[in-house]
Amino acid sequence: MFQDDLDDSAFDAELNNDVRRLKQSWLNEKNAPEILQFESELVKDLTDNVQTQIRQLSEIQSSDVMTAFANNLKRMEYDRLLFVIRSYLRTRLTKIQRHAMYILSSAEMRQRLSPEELRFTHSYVTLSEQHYSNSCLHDFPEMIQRLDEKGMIPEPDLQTHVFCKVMEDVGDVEIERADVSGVNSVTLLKGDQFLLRYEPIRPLVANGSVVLL
Amino acid sequence: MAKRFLEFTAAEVEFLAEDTIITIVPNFQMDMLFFISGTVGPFSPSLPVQVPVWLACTLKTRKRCSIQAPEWLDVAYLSAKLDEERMFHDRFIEMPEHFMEISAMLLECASDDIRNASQLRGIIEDICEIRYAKARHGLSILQDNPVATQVNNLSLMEINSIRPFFIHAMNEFRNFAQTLQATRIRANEVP
Repeated sequence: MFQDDLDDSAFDAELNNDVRRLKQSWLNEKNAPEILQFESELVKDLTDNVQTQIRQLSEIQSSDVMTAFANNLKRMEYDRLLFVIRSYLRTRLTKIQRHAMYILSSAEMRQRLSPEELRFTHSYVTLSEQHYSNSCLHDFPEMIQRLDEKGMIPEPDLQTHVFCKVMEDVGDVEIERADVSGVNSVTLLKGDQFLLRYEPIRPLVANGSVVLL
Repeated sequence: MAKRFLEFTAAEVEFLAEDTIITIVPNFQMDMLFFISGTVGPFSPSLPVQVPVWLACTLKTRKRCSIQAPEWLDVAYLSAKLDEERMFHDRFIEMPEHFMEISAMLLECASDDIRNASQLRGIIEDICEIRYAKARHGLSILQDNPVATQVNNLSLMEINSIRPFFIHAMNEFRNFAQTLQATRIRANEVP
């Protein structure tokens, strides 16, 4: 019994952490100009948890007012989680639609997608190519029918500015200046918040030492 | 395209604030609640218990509990913060996380549990106004540091409200600077 209790509490702390991580991934994804690595395990684990909760709630048949009340609260709680998961996925889909051809053209970007997202990207590109071709491109001279010429593919603007918070001491980061040639260094210490360009902190967002706000 | 999915709305920031833990005093008996994000309870009449704000407000509107105002939701504490905020013109004072959203939600659903509710509303409004004025003023000195601007103690809600304008402005500054630099280089190349 005692052992069970221990296991339960450890389990709980981990779940808590999953929810916190999902919310941070949601923030990062909303604010980063490019698509980030898909949090497949996180999304899968939490979706499974929600499914289990839904199943358990549907199995309880009780006329007791308090039980009904408790179930209602649990429903509210998993609805909140589902909202975050959905918004996270839709944010990603929006980015994929914006940069579909760019993502397909880069192996690094492709591996950031889930298998489902990758399938979506392929069919999205096929469909839009068909559409452009049917609606106008087939009337153009052959030499300008292509959609993937250099400079035609919209890419994410990695130079855009973002708000970020430093989660652990990083030290000095060198950032290229725009007005004169040369670099300035910025010291990133835990707890500091900055408004700066995304590109220099790109690896720090990926490894979690900096989060976007 | 669904641009709204690439932006944070004020409602979504408030949603995040709703997960902050506060203390309530329930008036009912209920076992522990096994939520996905953790356990809450058990609930016993008159025994203070910690719950997320969304649950507190739900229970409060159903008259199932009274809410204990967080320590910082207090006239003396916030007045001191207001004075401090007025004293420094070049930085933001550290405030409790999500103070705007939480105070707004609690004053909305539990104003009868919070002492000096209307006075608190006034002070918080003043604090928000001063901070917003500082942020706006901050934009005029943004160019001082060409690579990064420190915005410590600015809350997520505040960042979110100034975000579209600030990001756009910073990107424009950068474009100007690049154009200027390119022009300079070209001017030097001319013999």
